[in-house]
Amino acid sequence: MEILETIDIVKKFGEFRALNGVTLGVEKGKVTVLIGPNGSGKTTLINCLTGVYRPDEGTVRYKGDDITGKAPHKLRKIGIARTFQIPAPFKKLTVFENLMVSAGNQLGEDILKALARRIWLPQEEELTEKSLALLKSFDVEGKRNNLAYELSGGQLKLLELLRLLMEDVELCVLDEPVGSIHPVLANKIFSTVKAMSEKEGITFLIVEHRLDIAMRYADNVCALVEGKILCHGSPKSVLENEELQRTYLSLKNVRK
Amino acid sequence: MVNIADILIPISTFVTFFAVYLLVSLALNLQQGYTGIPNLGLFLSIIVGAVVTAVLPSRLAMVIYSVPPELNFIEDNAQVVALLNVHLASDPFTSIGLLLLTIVVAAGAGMVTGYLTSFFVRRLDETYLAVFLLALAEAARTIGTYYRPLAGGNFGISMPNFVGWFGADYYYLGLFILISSVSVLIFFLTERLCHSPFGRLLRSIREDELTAKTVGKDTNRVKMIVMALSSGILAVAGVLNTTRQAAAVIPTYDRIDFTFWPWLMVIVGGSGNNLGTLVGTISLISLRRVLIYMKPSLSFLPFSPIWFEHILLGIILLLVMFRRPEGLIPEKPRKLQGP
Ligand SMILES: Nc1ncnc2c1ncn2[C@@H]1O[C@H](COP(=O)(O)OP(=O)(O)O)[C@@H](O)[C@H]1O
Ligand SMILES: [Mg+2]
Repeated sequence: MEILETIDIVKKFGEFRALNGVTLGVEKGKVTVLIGPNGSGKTTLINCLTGVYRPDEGTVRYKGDDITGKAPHKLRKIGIARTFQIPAPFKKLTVFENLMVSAGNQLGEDILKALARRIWLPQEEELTEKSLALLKSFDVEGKRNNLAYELSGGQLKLLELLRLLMEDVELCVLDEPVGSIHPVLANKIFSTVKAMSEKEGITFLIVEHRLDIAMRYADNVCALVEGKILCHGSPKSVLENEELQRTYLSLKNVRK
Repeated sequence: MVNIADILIPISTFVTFFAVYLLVSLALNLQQGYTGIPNLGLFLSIIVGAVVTAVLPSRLAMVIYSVPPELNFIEDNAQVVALLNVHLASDPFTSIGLLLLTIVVAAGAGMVTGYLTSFFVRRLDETYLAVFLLALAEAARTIGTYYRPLAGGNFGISMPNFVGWFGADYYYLGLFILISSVSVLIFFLTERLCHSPFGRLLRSIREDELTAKTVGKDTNRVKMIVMALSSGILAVAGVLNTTRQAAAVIPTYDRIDFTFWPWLMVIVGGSGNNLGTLVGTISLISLRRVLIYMKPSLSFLPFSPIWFEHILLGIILLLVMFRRPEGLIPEKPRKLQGP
């Protein structure tokens, strides 16, 4: 079953068609990896799926409902979360605060309830436990009091991912989650992803260039070239696609 | 024997001036320091508060004390004020009631103003927004200056005395108590708000609005709330300033005194925390007071000492920007103790 579908998405920047009719289905509970050369429109597609851009043409459906052009915060409330290719943390907040603020439905974020500590304190303590546990599971609890701008590139990538685990999520859209992360952590991130999809039925759509790692965990692979889907299917079938071999994979030297 | 008023007047003048400015810089800190909304037109909502004070309580008092209808508050200002003062001086309940009502109505009017401007806050980028809000405020000031029925226009109007019932000797004590308690109350409420998840939400929007949206925050709604709340505070500052001066003179609410100085106070104190704002406000107010007393001895300057204050504003700004951009008391993120 497909949790997310795009139908003929077109996104133009001026005259340039960054997306030129993208039709794609993302299977529920599976890990779909989106590959393609730089500038092929992967990030633009993600932006169209998560409400950052409104597509010029076409429709985005989530669980059968039309969500084209819906605002990002509304999409987050119905279970669609995303990360950014270039990490976009809350720089002058601590790592811990970055996680805390990312949790949804906080009583203390209501201006009137915020004045009464006893209303929001129990929830705050719960969320504190949750974020500390998350930080611990990736061995970064020592960084909790660091301001986000003090982190390294790899740590920021990790923070992008942890941020979206603070609230229930059904569809995770990750833009190059392990770029500039060392292989051990990268594998750990992907095995976490895989476990979440298998145990909790969470769907993942992941843009990733590091095929050596990503292909091990992918259920489906989809290749985007020049704003169009070139091929879509099992990792094996996509990697064997001749045209993709010529345009993209030959440069990557990937073994199947 | 020392006259009690001789001691009270300077203290009360200083403290009430500070209390009014504290509200202005608190509001700015909520907008700019916490949420990242650059507002160069703080005096818009202050003027709204001042106009409400000029229009509402005296008209009500005229009805309550049956002032002859042929007397007009603006045209026969001195006469009406003298009449009302006699009544109000022996009627603390009505005085307090009118004042509280004015504060509530002005806060409401300020919040509506903030709510309306928040539509532009959503749509305009930082620089455009700052300049646009400045233009709006300038427009309000121009209207207030040239349209006499509002608040007497260019020369302003005198206000009846709502703390006259303290008696001539203790009048300044009354002002002191009234104005500083409103200001202290608002300070502590703001502080409480900022140390809650709501404050954290504001800082996240300041740091990266798009990320805040993608983690599910309705940032437009939050900005609207912040604009409404802080504009309400600004309007209360307008009420209190009008009360402490016992006059409403709209042209005095200009961009230098009621936007640029507050900005400097927030920057000097350290934006994004209310304690810093308080420290910045009190240090710069003290400095300006000292300057006023020093004016006679500044006559050696090749220009009027009035301009010296403006030059100082620029110099302090540059010094802080270069030497201590985070301010006297930098924003402190909440640290989590434990292993
Ligand atoms: N905001 C923008 N304005 C203009 N052109 C853009 C913008 N964003 C992306 N593009 C262009 O669209 C194409 C696709 O970009 P992008 O989606 O970032 O590619 P990818 O993520 O696959 O590397 C590129 O040619 C890029 O230059
Ligand atoms: Mg990209």
